[in-house]
Amino acid sequence: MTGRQFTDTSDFYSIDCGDKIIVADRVLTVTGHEWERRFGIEDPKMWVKRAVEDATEQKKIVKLSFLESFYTTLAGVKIRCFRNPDKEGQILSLVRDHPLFMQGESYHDPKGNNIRIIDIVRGPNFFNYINTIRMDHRQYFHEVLPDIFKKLIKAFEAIRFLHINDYRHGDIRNDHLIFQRKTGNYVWIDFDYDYSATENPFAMDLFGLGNILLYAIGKGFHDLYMITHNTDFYGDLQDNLEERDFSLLDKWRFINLRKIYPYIPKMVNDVLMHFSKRSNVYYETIDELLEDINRCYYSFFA
Amino acid sequence: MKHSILIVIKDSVSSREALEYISLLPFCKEDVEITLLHIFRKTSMSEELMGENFTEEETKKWQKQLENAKEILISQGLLPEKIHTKLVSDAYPTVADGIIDQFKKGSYGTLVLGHKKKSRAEEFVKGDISIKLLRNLEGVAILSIT
Repeated sequence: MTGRQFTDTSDFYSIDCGDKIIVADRVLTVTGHEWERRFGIEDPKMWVKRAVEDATEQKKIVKLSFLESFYTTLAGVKIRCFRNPDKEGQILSLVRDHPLFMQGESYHDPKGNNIRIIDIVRGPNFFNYINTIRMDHRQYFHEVLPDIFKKLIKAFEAIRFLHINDYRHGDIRNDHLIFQRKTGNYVWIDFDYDYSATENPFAMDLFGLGNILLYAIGKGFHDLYMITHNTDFYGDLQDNLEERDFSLLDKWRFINLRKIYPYIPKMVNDVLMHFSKRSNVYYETIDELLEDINRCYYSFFA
Repeated sequence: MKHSILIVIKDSVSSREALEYISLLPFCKEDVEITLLHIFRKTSMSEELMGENFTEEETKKWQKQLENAKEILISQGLLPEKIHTKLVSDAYPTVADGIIDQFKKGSYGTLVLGHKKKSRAEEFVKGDISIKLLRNLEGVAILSIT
């Protein structure tokens, strides 16, 4: 069966496998759609198509325009989040040939819908990558983390490049950072999300970076449930918990890792504690965070 | 001694209280020069979609608010010719950036603003204008009224 041809992508739900998306002088045959994979749940992302470009036979991701908008609440703070395809298109132009960002081109169809044709970044995301490292934390901390830390600094500097150009990534998570097998780089993907932030425009990006750092240093996240239900691993830590050991915005997420792993240097732990309820001073710019993590790297990991 | 004060006017209870507090201070009215300032927040994407009418209405609303604030000061005996209003619509990244820039452009000695008490989480996510001003302005009297 010959697929249908789409130049107008407004009704992205109806574009299915075998159909062709024609944009500018490019023709792409749809082979499926992407899935949101979080917390063991898979949701189809009907606006994100897997495709093969007819001219080159290369696999691509085609992101169509989906203007989703919603409110989320973090620690009682209501934040308006929305998808901003044009922002992602502008960032793709900004980061052309930058090795730490996904690459692609942005177009508009005749109805003004933004279409992004994205090169696939091959490799595990940071969440899965850390999850598959099989060794105890002490060995991980001394043997594996130094290289991870060094690469994270480079990845954070890439986010700084966005910030100094007045862009936010908008959705910094450990599954939006890919350990690219071919290069060994950590590569940022998916920057079409945005959020309303008035006086602290980069707050949520910084919070996302803090979470990634926490995940890397802790070799995974640790939360109250784990601490209270796995006494084999956490011992009597549950008797020694304080509210200020936990995340400022996620009340169950444990931040004060030195209570689990006392060999983590205080300077490193203090960076994490900026994202905890203990902190009175917060990172306002990525430069402040980079200064601190660079100091940690050269003091303990270099 | 001449004294020049910049008062930031916002649509908040603390801002009104800051204005009231200043209006009740025993100034030598000939020596005090007051500028009432409002900085437009950079419009979000959804506000941009609301178009020019929205912006026009906001401008009119804030001109009126500044005039009302001026009347409050005059009603407490301050001299009308010594009170100025300033509505700034330049697209600053944040309101705090706008206040800092406007303060530096003028020859003010004191900066007054209302301060809304926030939770720590709110302060992290939304930022805090008073703290930004304290961090960025030196050699200035900043009166932050909660």
